[in-house]
Amino acid sequence: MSRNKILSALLLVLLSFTYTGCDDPPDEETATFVLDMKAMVNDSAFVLGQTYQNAQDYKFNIETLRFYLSNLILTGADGSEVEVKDVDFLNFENNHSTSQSKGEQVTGTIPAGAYTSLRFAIGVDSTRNSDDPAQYPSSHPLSIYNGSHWNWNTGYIFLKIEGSIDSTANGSGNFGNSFLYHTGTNPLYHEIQFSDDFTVAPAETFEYKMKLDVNRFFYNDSDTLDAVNDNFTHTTGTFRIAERVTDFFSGAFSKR
Amino acid sequence: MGNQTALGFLVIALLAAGCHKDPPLSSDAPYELNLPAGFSMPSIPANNELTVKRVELGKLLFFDTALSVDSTVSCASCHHQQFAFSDNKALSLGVNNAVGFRNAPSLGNIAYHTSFFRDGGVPTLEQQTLAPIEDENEMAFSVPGVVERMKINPDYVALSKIAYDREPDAFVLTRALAAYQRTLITGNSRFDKYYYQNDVSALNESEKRGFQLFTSEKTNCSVCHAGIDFSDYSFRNIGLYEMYADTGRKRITQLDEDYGKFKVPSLRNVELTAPYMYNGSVTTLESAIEHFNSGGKENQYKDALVQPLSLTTDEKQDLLNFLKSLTDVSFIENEEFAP
Repeated sequence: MSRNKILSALLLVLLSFTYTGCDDPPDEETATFVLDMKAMVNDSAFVLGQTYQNAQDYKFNIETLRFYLSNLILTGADGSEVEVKDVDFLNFENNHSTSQSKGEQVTGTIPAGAYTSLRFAIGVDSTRNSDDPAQYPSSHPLSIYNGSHWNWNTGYIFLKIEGSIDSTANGSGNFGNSFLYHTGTNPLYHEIQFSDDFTVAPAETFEYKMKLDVNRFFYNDSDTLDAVNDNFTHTTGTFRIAERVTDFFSGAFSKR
Repeated sequence: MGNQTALGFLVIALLAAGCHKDPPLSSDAPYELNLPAGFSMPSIPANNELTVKRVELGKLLFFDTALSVDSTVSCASCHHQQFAFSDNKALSLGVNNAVGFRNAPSLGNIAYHTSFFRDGGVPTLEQQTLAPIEDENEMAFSVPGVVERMKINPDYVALSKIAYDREPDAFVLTRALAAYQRTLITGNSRFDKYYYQNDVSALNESEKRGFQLFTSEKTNCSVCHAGIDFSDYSFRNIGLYEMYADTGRKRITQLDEDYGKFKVPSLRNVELTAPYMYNGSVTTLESAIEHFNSGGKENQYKDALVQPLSLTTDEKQDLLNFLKSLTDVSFIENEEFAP
C-alpha cells in the first residue's frame, strides 16, 4: 500500500470519528432505568400541606420535603456495578401538591440485563459536598438555585423536612408547633441498599417503583422522635436530632 | 505542497480538533497585582485569574446595594475602605437593621487567607461571597435574585460577557466579587518601609522596641501573628471568656478541641479596625493589649501561648506604637479600590 493510501485510510477513520462526534456510540443493548419515588401516607399518595396523623397519634402536615439522592447504583447478576445517576435533587413540591400516581423520578441509561440489587445514598458524598454550588448551571442538581446549600459552613443540605405538628396527641389539629429538620455534613451521608432480582430488556423503559413512607419520618423500630420538642436542627449544634432524622428517613423507603 | 503533505496536515488538523473547544478570545487584559516589597503572589484559582474587567465588575458589585433584598445594603456597607474594609461597629447592621452574627473583619490581604469567616467554615473566597447575600441578617436576598437584577442591567451584561464570556449568573457574581477583593492588598505602612524597604528611619525608637517585644519570646505575639500579613490564619482560643456563647470553630468541626477558637486576625491597619475580637467586644487597641497582658480568662481550650505577660506601662506603650505603625494610609486612600 502506498503512503498516500495509508494516509487516506487514516483520514477516513478520523473522519468517521468526527462524524460520530464525542457522543457515546448508540447501543441497542441499553435500556432506560427510572426510579419512581412516591411519597405516601399509608397506601395513599402524600399531599403537601394536608393534615395527617402520625403513628404517635399527633396530627401533622409537611410543607417542605426535598432531598439529595446520589450514587444510584445497580448490581448486575454478574457482579458488575452500573451507575444510573450520580446525583439528583428530589423536590416533592413539584409533584405532590395534588395526589397523583407518579412520584419524583430519577432516570438513567443502563445496559439491559439481570440485576440483583439497587443502592443509593441520601445526601452527596464528601467529594461533591465541598463543591462550589455557584459553579453549576442553574439546572444542575447541585446548583445554588436549588437552595439546599449552607453558605457559612460549606456543604449541601442533604434533606429538608419542614412542617407543623399538633402539641398534643389526638389533638384538634390546631398546629402551634412548627418543625424544621435540615440534615447534612459528611457523617450523615447515608447509603441504603435493596436486594431485589429484576431483569431489564433491551430498549425497555424500566420503572422501579419505591415508596417513601412519610409516617416513618418520625420513628423506627427502636426510637421515636418527639417532633413537638425536638423540633429543629440545622445539624450543627443539634447533631443528634439530625442523626436520628437521617436514620428514620433512611428507613422510610420500600419497594411498592 | 504535495498530496501527501496536504493529507498529512489534514490528519494532524483533525487530530488536533478533537472533542475540545478552544476558549474564545477575550478582549480583557490581565490585571497586574501591585505587590509591595516582601509580598509573594497569592494563590488564585485557575478559573478566576485576575483581569481588568473581572476586577471592574467585582468592584461594581461590591458597592452595589442591589445585592440586598431591599437594595439598601452593599458589601461596602459593612466593609468601609476608611476602616481598611472593616466596620467600626461591633456587629454590623444588615437590611432592616438586622444585627450581624460576628464582627466584620478587614478585607486587607484577603487574597492570602486560607479559609474564610472567623471560624473558617468556607474554603474559597468565591464561596464566601454567597453567604452575606443570603444571610437573613445581612443582605437577606438570594443569589438567583441578584443574578436576575444583573441580567436587566446592561453594564453587568456587557462586563460579564467580556470578563467571563457568559451572561450574568452565579458563577460570574461570585468570581467577580472574589476577583475584586483579591486586589485589596495592603503592605505600605511605615513598618513596611522600615522592615521590607530598608528605611531605618521610618520607625521611631518606641515603635522599634515595640516590634522587638512583639517578636520576643516574652510575648509570643508573632507566633500566631506571623508572616507578611501578621497572621498564620490558624484558629485559637485566646481566653476571651470562661464560657463562650459562640463556640467558634467548633460550630464547624463539632470537635470539642475547637471550642472558642477563631481565626487569628491580621494586624495590618489594626489601628483602623476597632472594635476588636470576633464579636467586637473589645473597643480599643489598648484594651486588646491589656487582654493579652492579663493572660485571658481560663477555659479548658485556651491556647497555651496566652499567658500573663507582666508588661510595664512603657512596654505596653511601645507595643501600641508598633501596632499603629502597621497603618497603611495608601491603602485607605487608594482610589483604585473606591467606587
